[in-house]
Amino acid sequence: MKRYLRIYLSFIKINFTLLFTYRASFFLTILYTVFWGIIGIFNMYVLTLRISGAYGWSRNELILLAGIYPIFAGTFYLLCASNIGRIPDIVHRGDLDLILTKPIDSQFILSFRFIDFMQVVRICVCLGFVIFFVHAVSFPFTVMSVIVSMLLMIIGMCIIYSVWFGVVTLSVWFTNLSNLRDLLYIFMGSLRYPSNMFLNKTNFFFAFFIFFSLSITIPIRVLLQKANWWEIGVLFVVASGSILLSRIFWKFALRFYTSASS
Amino acid sequence: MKPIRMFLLTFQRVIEQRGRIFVWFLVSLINPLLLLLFWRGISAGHQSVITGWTVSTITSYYLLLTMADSFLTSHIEEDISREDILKGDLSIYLMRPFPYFLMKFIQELPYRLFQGIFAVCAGFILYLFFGSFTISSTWYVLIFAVCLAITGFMISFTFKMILGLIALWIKEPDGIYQFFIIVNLVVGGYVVPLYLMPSWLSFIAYFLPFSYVIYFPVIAFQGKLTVIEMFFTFAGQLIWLLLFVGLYKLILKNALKKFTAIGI
Repeated sequence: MKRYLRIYLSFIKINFTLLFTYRASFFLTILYTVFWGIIGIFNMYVLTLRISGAYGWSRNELILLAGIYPIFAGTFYLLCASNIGRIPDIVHRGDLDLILTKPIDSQFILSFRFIDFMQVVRICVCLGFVIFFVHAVSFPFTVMSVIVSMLLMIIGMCIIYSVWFGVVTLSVWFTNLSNLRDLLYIFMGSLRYPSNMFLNKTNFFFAFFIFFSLSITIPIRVLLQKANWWEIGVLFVVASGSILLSRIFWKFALRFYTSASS
Repeated sequence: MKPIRMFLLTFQRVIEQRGRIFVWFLVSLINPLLLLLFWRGISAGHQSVITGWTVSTITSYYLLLTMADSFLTSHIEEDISREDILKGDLSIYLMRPFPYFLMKFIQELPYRLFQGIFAVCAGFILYLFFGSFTISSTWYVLIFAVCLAITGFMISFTFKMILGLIALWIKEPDGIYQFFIIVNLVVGGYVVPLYLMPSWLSFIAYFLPFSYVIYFPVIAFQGKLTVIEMFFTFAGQLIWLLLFVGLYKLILKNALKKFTAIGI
Protein backbone atom coordinates (compact mmCIF):
# COMPACT_ATOMS: atom_id res chain seq x y z
CA MET A 1 0.00 0.00 0.00
CA LYS A 2 2.80 2.40 1.00
CA ARG A 3 4.61 1.60 -2.25
CA TYR A 4 1.48 2.39 -4.26
CA LEU A 5 1.07 5.70 -2.46
CA ARG A 6 4.67 6.59 -3.27
CA ILE A 7 4.10 5.72 -6.92
CA TYR A 8 0.94 7.80 -6.99
CA LEU A 9 2.82 10.79 -5.58
CA SER A 10 5.32 10.45 -8.44
CA PHE A 11 2.41 10.37 -10.89
CA ILE A 12 1.11 13.64 -9.42
CA LYS A 13 4.51 15.34 -9.82
CA ILE A 14 4.98 14.14 -13.41
CA ASN A 15 1.47 15.17 -14.43
CA PHE A 16 1.86 18.61 -12.91
CA THR A 17 4.99 19.17 -15.01
CA LEU A 18 3.19 17.99 -18.17
CA LEU A 19 0.36 20.44 -17.53
CA PHE A 20 2.10 23.45 -19.10
CA THR A 21 3.64 21.72 -22.14
CA TYR A 22 1.30 23.39 -24.66
CA ARG A 23 0.36 26.79 -23.24
CA ALA A 24 -2.21 27.81 -25.87
CA SER A 25 -3.88 24.44 -25.53
CA PHE A 26 -3.70 24.74 -21.74
CA PHE A 27 -5.80 27.91 -21.67
CA LEU A 28 -8.24 26.66 -24.30
CA THR A 29 -8.67 23.40 -22.40
CA ILE A 30 -9.38 25.29 -19.19
CA LEU A 31 -11.98 27.34 -21.04
CA TYR A 32 -13.84 24.43 -22.57
CA THR A 33 -13.62 22.39 -19.38
CA VAL A 34 -15.36 25.23 -17.54
CA PHE A 35 -17.88 25.61 -20.39
CA TRP A 36 -18.73 21.90 -20.20
CA GLY A 37 -19.38 22.33 -16.50
CA ILE A 38 -21.61 25.35 -16.96
CA ILE A 39 -23.43 24.00 -19.98
CA GLY A 40 -24.91 21.06 -18.04
CA ILE A 41 -26.42 23.47 -15.52
CA PHE A 42 -27.62 25.76 -18.27
CA ASN A 43 -29.21 22.88 -20.18
CA MET A 44 -31.14 21.83 -17.11
CA TYR A 45 -32.22 25.45 -16.62
CA VAL A 46 -33.54 25.54 -20.21
CA LEU A 47 -35.07 22.08 -19.92
CA THR A 48 -37.03 22.99 -16.80
CA LEU A 49 -37.87 26.53 -17.85
CA ARG A 50 -41.55 25.75 -18.37
CA ILE A 51 -42.08 23.03 -15.76
CA SER A 52 -42.14 23.20 -11.96
CA GLY A 53 -40.55 19.81 -11.39
CA ALA A 54 -40.21 16.24 -12.58
CA TYR A 55 -40.01 12.72 -11.16
CA GLY A 56 -40.61 13.92 -7.62
CA TRP A 57 -37.83 16.52 -7.85
CA SER A 58 -38.59 20.23 -7.78
CA ARG A 59 -37.06 22.49 -10.42
CA ASN A 60 -34.47 23.80 -7.93
CA GLU A 61 -33.51 20.27 -6.93
CA LEU A 62 -33.04 19.33 -10.59
CA ILE A 63 -30.79 22.35 -11.10
CA LEU A 64 -28.87 21.39 -7.95
CA LEU A 65 -28.41 17.88 -9.38
CA ALA A 66 -27.14 19.40 -12.64
CA GLY A 67 -24.83 21.66 -10.58
CA ILE A 68 -23.35 18.84 -8.51
CA TYR A 69 -22.97 16.60 -11.56
CA PRO A 70 -19.95 18.51 -13.01
CA ILE A 71 -18.24 18.40 -9.61
CA PHE A 72 -18.83 14.66 -9.36
CA ALA A 73 -17.92 13.97 -12.99
CA GLY A 74 -15.01 16.44 -12.85
CA THR A 75 -13.51 14.58 -9.88
CA PHE A 76 -13.84 11.30 -11.75
CA TYR A 77 -12.27 12.83 -14.89
CA LEU A 78 -9.49 14.30 -12.75
CA LEU A 79 -8.53 10.95 -11.26
CA CYS A 80 -9.44 8.19 -13.70
CA ALA A 81 -11.21 9.07 -16.95
CA SER A 82 -8.22 10.13 -19.03
CA ASN A 83 -6.47 6.89 -18.01
CA ILE A 84 -9.36 4.57 -18.73
CA GLY A 85 -9.99 6.38 -22.01
CA ARG A 86 -6.46 5.49 -23.17
CA ILE A 87 -6.83 1.74 -22.55
CA PRO A 88 -8.31 0.88 -26.01
CA ASP A 89 -5.34 2.63 -27.69
CA ILE A 90 -2.86 0.94 -25.33
CA VAL A 91 -4.34 -2.45 -26.16
CA HIS A 92 -4.59 -1.68 -29.89
CA ARG A 93 -0.92 -0.66 -30.16
CA GLY A 94 0.31 -3.52 -27.99
CA ASP A 95 1.66 -1.12 -25.35
CA LEU A 96 -0.02 -3.22 -22.70
CA ASP A 97 2.98 -5.58 -22.89
CA LEU A 98 5.13 -2.93 -21.23
CA ILE A 99 2.60 -2.38 -18.48
CA LEU A 100 2.11 -6.07 -17.76
CA THR A 101 5.84 -6.56 -17.30
CA LYS A 102 6.07 -3.83 -14.66
CA PRO A 103 6.21 -4.96 -11.00
CA ILE A 104 2.96 -3.18 -10.07
CA ASP A 105 -0.67 -4.05 -10.57
CA SER A 106 -1.72 -3.44 -14.20
CA GLN A 107 -5.19 -2.21 -13.26
CA PHE A 108 -3.67 0.35 -10.88
CA ILE A 109 -1.28 1.83 -13.45
CA LEU A 110 -3.93 1.79 -16.19
CA SER A 111 -6.42 3.56 -13.93
CA PHE A 112 -4.29 6.21 -12.21
CA ARG A 113 -1.19 6.95 -14.32
CA PHE A 114 -2.49 10.30 -15.63
CA ILE A 115 -4.15 13.05 -13.63
CA ASP A 116 -6.19 15.62 -15.52
CA PHE A 117 -5.50 18.74 -13.44
CA MET A 118 -7.57 20.89 -15.82
CA GLN A 119 -10.67 19.47 -14.16
CA VAL A 120 -9.82 21.33 -10.94
CA VAL A 121 -10.98 24.56 -12.60
CA ARG A 122 -14.31 23.00 -13.61
CA ILE A 123 -14.78 21.60 -10.10
CA CYS A 124 -14.04 24.98 -8.48
CA VAL A 125 -16.32 26.95 -10.82
CA CYS A 126 -19.23 24.54 -10.35
CA LEU A 127 -18.62 24.34 -6.61
CA GLY A 128 -18.89 28.13 -6.55
CA PHE A 129 -22.21 27.90 -8.40
CA VAL A 130 -23.55 25.21 -6.05
CA ILE A 131 -22.62 27.20 -2.93
CA PHE A 132 -24.25 30.30 -4.39
CA PHE A 133 -27.35 28.37 -5.46
CA VAL A 134 -27.73 26.59 -2.13
CA HIS A 135 -27.60 29.95 -0.32
CA ALA A 136 -30.02 31.56 -2.77
CA VAL A 137 -32.60 28.79 -2.53
CA SER A 138 -31.98 27.95 1.16
CA PHE A 139 -31.90 24.17 0.94
CA PRO A 140 -32.30 22.53 4.36
CA PHE A 141 -28.83 20.93 4.47
CA THR A 142 -27.12 19.87 7.68
CA VAL A 143 -23.38 19.35 8.22
CA MET A 144 -24.07 15.64 8.68
CA SER A 145 -26.04 15.34 5.43
CA VAL A 146 -23.22 17.10 3.55
CA ILE A 147 -20.54 14.78 4.98
CA VAL A 148 -22.55 11.58 4.42
CA SER A 149 -23.46 12.71 0.94
CA MET A 150 -19.79 13.33 0.06
CA LEU A 151 -18.83 9.90 1.35
CA LEU A 152 -21.59 8.32 -0.68
CA MET A 153 -20.39 10.17 -3.76
CA ILE A 154 -17.02 8.46 -3.37
CA ILE A 155 -18.86 5.15 -3.30
CA GLY A 156 -20.91 6.25 -6.31
CA MET A 157 -17.68 7.03 -8.10
CA CYS A 158 -16.62 3.41 -7.59
CA ILE A 159 -19.67 2.36 -9.63
CA ILE A 160 -18.77 4.77 -12.42
CA TYR A 161 -15.17 3.59 -12.34
CA SER A 162 -16.23 -0.06 -12.57
CA VAL A 163 -18.60 0.53 -15.46
CA TRP A 164 -15.96 2.53 -17.36
CA PHE A 165 -13.25 -0.01 -16.69
CA GLY A 166 -15.55 -2.90 -17.55
CA VAL A 167 -16.55 -1.33 -20.87
CA VAL A 168 -12.99 -0.52 -21.99
CA THR A 169 -11.88 -4.01 -20.99
CA LEU A 170 -13.93 -5.12 -24.00
CA SER A 171 -11.23 -3.55 -26.16
CA VAL A 172 -9.07 -6.61 -25.45
CA TRP A 173 -11.42 -8.44 -27.83
CA PHE A 174 -12.54 -5.50 -30.01
CA THR A 175 -9.18 -3.86 -30.50
CA ASN A 176 -10.14 -1.11 -32.94
CA LEU A 177 -12.94 0.37 -30.83
CA SER A 178 -10.83 3.27 -29.57
CA ASN A 179 -13.91 5.50 -29.58
CA LEU A 180 -15.47 3.56 -26.68
CA ARG A 181 -14.25 6.38 -24.42
CA ASP A 182 -16.39 8.89 -26.30
CA LEU A 183 -19.38 6.68 -25.68
CA LEU A 184 -18.59 6.56 -21.97
CA TYR A 185 -18.32 10.34 -21.77
CA ILE A 186 -21.76 10.59 -23.38
CA PHE A 187 -23.16 7.97 -21.00
CA MET A 188 -22.05 10.22 -18.13
CA GLY A 189 -24.73 12.64 -19.30
CA SER A 190 -27.33 10.33 -17.75
CA LEU A 191 -26.07 11.46 -14.33
CA ARG A 192 -27.76 14.81 -14.86
CA TYR A 193 -31.19 13.19 -14.59
CA PRO A 194 -32.88 11.70 -11.52
CA SER A 195 -32.55 7.92 -11.40
CA ASN A 196 -36.30 7.36 -11.08
CA MET A 197 -36.62 8.72 -14.61
CA PHE A 198 -35.25 5.37 -15.79
CA LEU A 199 -37.63 3.44 -13.54
CA ASN A 200 -40.63 5.25 -14.93
CA LYS A 201 -43.00 2.74 -16.54
CA THR A 202 -42.73 4.45 -19.94
CA ASN A 203 -38.93 4.33 -19.85
CA PHE A 204 -38.43 0.94 -18.21
CA PHE A 205 -36.72 -0.50 -21.30
CA PHE A 206 -33.83 1.89 -20.63
CA ALA A 207 -33.38 0.95 -16.98
CA PHE A 208 -29.70 0.07 -17.59
CA PHE A 209 -28.92 3.80 -17.30
CA ILE A 210 -29.74 3.47 -13.63
CA PHE A 211 -26.30 2.02 -12.84
CA PHE A 212 -24.84 5.37 -13.79
CA SER A 213 -27.59 7.51 -12.42
CA LEU A 214 -27.97 6.14 -8.90
CA SER A 215 -24.30 6.83 -8.17
CA ILE A 216 -25.12 10.53 -7.86
CA THR A 217 -28.87 10.56 -7.29
CA ILE A 218 -28.71 8.70 -3.97
CA PRO A 219 -25.98 10.95 -2.47
CA ILE A 220 -27.99 14.02 -3.49
CA ARG A 221 -31.15 12.55 -2.00
CA VAL A 222 -29.15 12.11 1.22
CA LEU A 223 -28.05 15.73 0.93
CA LEU A 224 -31.68 16.77 0.59
CA GLN A 225 -32.57 14.42 3.47
CA LYS A 226 -34.98 12.49 1.32
CA ALA A 227 -33.16 9.16 1.07
CA ASN A 228 -34.19 5.92 2.76
CA TRP A 229 -31.73 3.57 4.44
CA TRP A 230 -32.33 0.88 1.86
CA GLU A 231 -31.21 3.25 -0.92
CA ILE A 232 -27.85 3.69 0.81
CA GLY A 233 -27.67 -0.10 1.17
CA VAL A 234 -28.35 -0.52 -2.55
CA LEU A 235 -25.55 1.94 -3.34
CA PHE A 236 -23.10 -0.05 -1.17
CA VAL A 237 -24.10 -3.40 -2.67
CA VAL A 238 -23.96 -2.16 -6.27
CA ALA A 239 -20.60 -0.41 -5.69
CA SER A 240 -18.88 -3.39 -4.09
CA GLY A 241 -20.41 -5.81 -6.61
CA SER A 242 -19.36 -3.71 -9.58
CA ILE A 243 -15.78 -3.17 -8.30
CA LEU A 244 -15.41 -6.90 -7.78
CA LEU A 245 -16.89 -7.70 -11.19
CA SER A 246 -14.67 -5.21 -13.02
CA ARG A 247 -11.60 -6.73 -11.33
CA ILE A 248 -12.61 -10.29 -12.23
CA PHE A 249 -13.46 -9.21 -15.77
CA TRP A 250 -10.07 -7.51 -16.24
CA LYS A 251 -8.20 -10.60 -15.00
CA PHE A 252 -10.33 -12.75 -17.29
CA ALA A 253 -9.73 -10.44 -20.30
CA LEU A 254 -5.96 -10.53 -19.80
CA ARG A 255 -6.05 -14.24 -20.58
CA PHE A 256 -7.17 -13.30 -24.09
CA TYR A 257 -4.69 -10.48 -24.64
CA THR A 258 -2.42 -11.47 -27.51
CA SER A 259 -0.25 -8.33 -27.93
CA ALA A 260 -0.09 -6.35 -31.18
CA SER A 261 2.28 -8.59 -33.07
CA SER A 262 0.59 -11.93 -32.46
CA MET B 1 -16.53 8.38 -62.95
CA LYS B 2 -13.43 8.78 -60.78
CA PRO B 3 -15.29 10.49 -57.90
CA ILE B 4 -17.72 7.54 -57.85
CA ARG B 5 -14.79 5.13 -57.70
CA MET B 6 -13.31 7.16 -54.83
CA PHE B 7 -16.67 7.09 -53.08
CA LEU B 8 -16.90 3.30 -53.42
CA LEU B 9 -13.35 2.82 -52.16
CA THR B 10 -14.12 4.91 -49.07
CA PHE B 11 -17.33 2.96 -48.61
CA GLN B 12 -15.26 -0.25 -48.42
CA ARG B 13 -13.16 1.34 -45.66
CA VAL B 14 -16.33 2.43 -43.87
CA ILE B 15 -17.72 -1.11 -43.92
CA GLU B 16 -14.41 -2.35 -42.55
CA GLN B 17 -14.83 0.08 -39.63
CA ARG B 18 -18.51 -0.67 -39.02
CA GLY B 19 -17.94 -1.36 -35.29
CA ARG B 20 -16.37 2.05 -34.76
CA ILE B 21 -19.10 3.76 -36.77
CA PHE B 22 -21.73 1.98 -34.72
CA VAL B 23 -20.13 3.36 -31.55
CA TRP B 24 -20.11 6.85 -33.11
CA PHE B 25 -23.77 6.40 -33.91
CA LEU B 26 -24.45 5.44 -30.26
CA VAL B 27 -22.62 8.61 -29.22
CA SER B 28 -25.03 10.69 -31.29
CA LEU B 29 -28.02 8.66 -30.03
CA ILE B 30 -27.56 8.84 -26.24
CA ASN B 31 -28.17 12.56 -25.64
CA PRO B 32 -31.41 12.86 -27.65
CA LEU B 33 -32.55 9.55 -26.16
CA LEU B 34 -32.03 10.83 -22.60
CA LEU B 35 -33.94 14.01 -23.40
CA LEU B 36 -36.68 11.97 -25.01
CA LEU B 37 -36.96 9.78 -21.91
CA PHE B 38 -37.01 12.88 -19.69
CA TRP B 39 -39.91 14.45 -21.57
CA ARG B 40 -41.84 11.24 -22.15
CA GLY B 41 -41.79 10.44 -18.44
CA ILE B 42 -43.11 13.89 -17.60
CA SER B 43 -45.69 13.89 -20.35
CA ALA B 44 -47.05 10.40 -19.61
CA GLY B 45 -50.67 10.73 -18.67
CA HIS B 46 -50.82 14.39 -19.64
CA GLN B 47 -52.00 15.61 -23.01
CA SER B 48 -49.34 18.30 -23.17
CA VAL B 49 -47.00 19.65 -20.45
CA ILE B 50 -46.20 22.69 -22.56
CA THR B 51 -48.57 23.98 -25.23
CA GLY B 52 -47.83 22.22 -28.51
CA TRP B 53 -45.17 19.97 -26.94
CA THR B 54 -47.08 16.67 -26.96
CA VAL B 55 -45.76 13.11 -26.58
CA SER B 56 -45.96 12.67 -30.35
CA THR B 57 -44.13 15.95 -31.09
CA ILE B 58 -41.46 15.16 -28.48
CA THR B 59 -40.83 11.65 -29.83
CA SER B 60 -40.71 12.84 -33.44
CA TYR B 61 -38.41 15.74 -32.61
CA TYR B 62 -35.76 13.69 -30.80
CA LEU B 63 -35.90 10.73 -33.18
CA LEU B 64 -35.52 13.06 -36.17
CA LEU B 65 -32.74 14.86 -34.30
CA THR B 66 -30.83 11.58 -33.90
CA MET B 67 -31.23 10.76 -37.59
CA ALA B 68 -30.35 14.28 -38.71
CA ASP B 69 -27.28 14.37 -36.48
CA SER B 70 -26.03 11.07 -37.91
CA PHE B 71 -26.70 12.06 -41.52
CA LEU B 72 -25.86 15.76 -41.49
CA THR B 73 -23.20 16.55 -38.89
CA SER B 74 -19.77 16.26 -40.43
CA HIS B 75 -16.79 15.26 -38.27
CA ILE B 76 -14.07 15.80 -40.86
CA GLU B 77 -12.16 18.39 -38.79
CA GLU B 78 -10.24 15.87 -36.66
CA ASP B 79 -9.22 13.89 -39.72
CA ILE B 80 -7.90 17.06 -41.38
CA SER B 81 -6.04 18.33 -38.33
CA ARG B 82 -4.52 15.01 -37.22
CA GLU B 83 -3.92 13.11 -40.43
CA ASP B 84 -3.60 15.77 -43.13
CA ILE B 85 -1.88 18.56 -41.26
CA LEU B 86 -0.05 17.15 -38.24
CA LYS B 87 1.02 13.92 -39.99
CA GLY B 88 1.47 15.67 -43.33
CA ASP B 89 -0.99 13.69 -45.47
CA LEU B 90 -2.14 16.95 -47.04
CA SER B 91 0.76 16.69 -49.51
CA ILE B 92 -0.76 13.45 -50.88
CA TYR B 93 -4.03 15.28 -51.63
CA LEU B 94 -2.25 18.26 -53.16
CA MET B 95 -0.53 15.98 -55.67
CA ARG B 96 -3.86 14.61 -56.92
CA PRO B 97 -5.79 16.15 -59.82
CA PHE B 98 -8.90 16.90 -57.77
CA PRO B 99 -9.75 19.80 -55.46
CA TYR B 100 -8.99 19.05 -51.79
CA PHE B 101 -12.56 20.02 -50.87
CA LEU B 102 -14.05 17.50 -53.31
CA MET B 103 -11.82 14.64 -52.15
CA LYS B 104 -12.62 15.22 -48.49
CA PHE B 105 -16.30 15.53 -49.35
CA ILE B 106 -16.29 12.18 -51.14
CA GLN B 107 -14.48 10.68 -48.16
CA GLU B 108 -16.97 12.05 -45.65
CA LEU B 109 -20.13 11.10 -47.54
CA PRO B 110 -19.97 7.29 -46.98
CA TYR B 111 -19.45 7.84 -43.24
CA ARG B 112 -22.55 10.02 -43.04
CA LEU B 113 -24.60 7.57 -45.11
CA PHE B 114 -23.51 4.54 -43.10
CA GLN B 115 -24.07 6.24 -39.74
CA GLY B 116 -27.38 7.55 -41.05
CA ILE B 117 -28.47 4.01 -41.94
CA PHE B 118 -27.76 2.96 -38.34
CA ALA B 119 -29.83 5.93 -37.18
CA VAL B 120 -32.78 5.04 -39.43
CA CYS B 121 -32.71 1.44 -38.13
CA ALA B 122 -32.53 2.64 -34.51
CA GLY B 123 -35.25 5.19 -35.24
CA PHE B 124 -37.49 2.42 -36.53
CA ILE B 125 -36.85 0.25 -33.44
CA LEU B 126 -37.51 3.20 -31.14
CA TYR B 127 -40.65 4.00 -33.13
CA LEU B 128 -41.88 0.45 -32.48
CA PHE B 129 -41.13 0.98 -28.80
CA PHE B 130 -42.47 4.50 -28.38
CA GLY B 131 -45.27 4.36 -30.92
CA SER B 132 -46.17 7.95 -31.58
CA PHE B 133 -44.07 9.41 -34.37
CA THR B 134 -45.36 11.89 -36.90
CA ILE B 135 -43.83 13.76 -39.80
CA SER B 136 -45.44 16.01 -42.35
CA SER B 137 -47.54 14.16 -44.90
CA THR B 138 -47.40 16.92 -47.52
CA TRP B 139 -45.09 15.90 -50.37
CA TYR B 140 -43.76 19.37 -51.22
CA VAL B 141 -42.96 20.03 -47.54
CA LEU B 142 -40.95 16.80 -47.45
CA ILE B 143 -39.10 17.69 -50.67
CA PHE B 144 -38.28 21.13 -49.30
CA ALA B 145 -37.18 19.55 -46.00
CA VAL B 146 -34.80 17.25 -47.90
CA CYS B 147 -33.34 20.30 -49.66
CA LEU B 148 -32.86 22.02 -46.29
CA ALA B 149 -31.17 18.87 -44.96
CA ILE B 150 -28.76 18.68 -47.92
CA THR B 151 -27.84 22.35 -47.59
CA GLY B 152 -27.51 21.85 -43.82
CA PHE B 153 -24.99 19.09 -44.44
CA MET B 154 -23.04 21.32 -46.85
CA ILE B 155 -22.88 24.06 -44.20
CA SER B 156 -21.71 21.59 -41.57
CA PHE B 157 -19.09 20.11 -43.90
CA THR B 158 -17.66 23.45 -45.06
CA PHE B 159 -17.55 24.78 -41.52
CA LYS B 160 -15.70 21.66 -40.30
CA MET B 161 -13.24 21.94 -43.21
CA ILE B 162 -12.41 25.45 -41.98
CA LEU B 163 -12.04 24.21 -38.40
CA GLY B 164 -9.76 21.40 -39.59
CA LEU B 165 -7.45 23.82 -41.41
CA ILE B 166 -7.05 25.87 -38.24
CA ALA B 167 -4.61 23.16 -37.08
CA LEU B 168 -2.01 24.85 -39.28
CA TRP B 169 -1.96 27.77 -36.90
CA ILE B 170 -2.84 26.03 -33.62
CA LYS B 171 -1.06 22.74 -32.93
CA GLU B 172 -3.65 21.45 -30.46
CA PRO B 173 -7.01 22.62 -31.83
CA ASP B 174 -9.12 20.31 -29.62
CA GLY B 175 -10.04 23.23 -27.37
CA ILE B 176 -11.55 25.10 -30.32
CA TYR B 177 -13.43 22.01 -31.50
CA GLN B 178 -14.84 21.48 -28.03
CA PHE B 179 -15.87 25.12 -27.86
CA PHE B 180 -17.89 24.80 -31.06
CA ILE B 181 -19.42 21.49 -29.90
CA ILE B 182 -20.69 23.30 -26.80
CA VAL B 183 -22.06 26.27 -28.77
CA ASN B 184 -23.71 23.86 -31.19
CA LEU B 185 -25.32 21.94 -28.32
CA VAL B 186 -26.87 25.10 -26.91
CA VAL B 187 -27.99 26.94 -30.01
CA GLY B 188 -28.34 24.03 -32.44
CA GLY B 189 -31.61 22.78 -30.95
CA TYR B 190 -30.08 19.72 -29.29
CA VAL B 191 -31.63 20.33 -25.86
CA VAL B 192 -35.09 21.60 -26.73
CA PRO B 193 -36.52 23.14 -29.91
CA LEU B 194 -35.50 26.78 -30.21
CA TYR B 195 -39.12 27.93 -29.83
CA LEU B 196 -39.11 26.53 -26.28
CA MET B 197 -35.90 28.33 -25.31
CA PRO B 198 -35.72 31.74 -23.62
CA SER B 199 -36.55 34.32 -26.27
CA TRP B 200 -33.13 36.06 -26.06
CA LEU B 201 -31.34 32.75 -26.67
CA SER B 202 -33.52 31.65 -29.55
CA PHE B 203 -33.07 35.13 -31.06
CA ILE B 204 -29.27 34.64 -30.99
CA ALA B 205 -29.62 31.06 -32.26
CA TYR B 206 -31.59 32.12 -35.32
CA PHE B 207 -28.70 34.37 -36.37
CA LEU B 208 -26.02 31.69 -36.01
CA PRO B 209 -25.29 28.96 -38.57
CA PHE B 210 -25.68 26.04 -36.15
CA SER B 211 -29.48 25.99 -36.15
CA TYR B 212 -29.46 25.74 -39.97
CA VAL B 213 -27.68 22.37 -39.92
CA ILE B 214 -29.98 20.21 -37.80
CA TYR B 215 -32.74 22.21 -36.19
CA PHE B 216 -34.47 23.73 -39.23
CA PRO B 217 -34.41 20.52 -41.31
CA VAL B 218 -35.88 18.62 -38.32
CA ILE B 219 -38.77 21.01 -37.72
CA ALA B 220 -39.33 21.20 -41.49
CA PHE B 221 -39.79 17.40 -41.55
CA GLN B 222 -42.19 17.77 -38.63
CA GLY B 223 -44.23 20.17 -40.75
CA LYS B 224 -43.73 23.06 -38.33
CA LEU B 225 -42.51 25.47 -41.01
CA THR B 226 -44.73 27.11 -43.59
CA VAL B 227 -43.56 27.24 -47.21
CA ILE B 228 -42.60 30.90 -46.79
CA GLU B 229 -40.60 30.09 -43.62
CA MET B 230 -38.86 27.23 -45.41
CA PHE B 231 -37.99 29.57 -48.25
CA PHE B 232 -36.46 32.10 -45.85
CA THR B 233 -34.63 29.32 -44.02
CA PHE B 234 -33.21 28.11 -47.32
CA ALA B 235 -32.09 31.66 -48.14
CA GLY B 236 -30.42 31.90 -44.73
CA GLN B 237 -28.66 28.59 -45.34
CA LEU B 238 -27.38 29.78 -48.73
CA ILE B 239 -25.99 32.97 -47.18
CA TRP B 240 -24.11 30.97 -44.53
CA LEU B 241 -22.90 28.45 -47.09
CA LEU B 242 -21.54 31.18 -49.38
CA LEU B 243 -19.85 32.87 -46.43
CA PHE B 244 -18.19 29.62 -45.37
CA VAL B 245 -17.11 28.71 -48.90
CA GLY B 246 -15.49 32.15 -49.26
CA LEU B 247 -13.80 31.81 -45.87
CA TYR B 248 -12.64 28.29 -46.71
CA LYS B 249 -11.02 29.47 -49.97
CA LEU B 250 -9.27 32.30 -48.15
CA ILE B 251 -8.02 30.03 -45.37
CA LEU B 252 -6.89 27.30 -47.77
CA LYS B 253 -4.95 29.86 -49.83
CA ASN B 254 -3.11 31.04 -46.72
CA ALA B 255 -2.82 27.53 -45.34
CA LEU B 256 -1.01 26.27 -48.43
CA LYS B 257 1.56 29.02 -48.04
CA LYS B 258 2.17 27.87 -44.47
CA PHE B 259 2.13 24.10 -45.07
CA THR B 260 5.60 22.55 -45.43
CA ALA B 261 4.86 18.94 -46.40
CA ILE B 262 6.73 17.43 -43.46
CA GLY B 263 4.21 18.77 -40.98
CA ILE B 264 4.17 22.19 -39.38
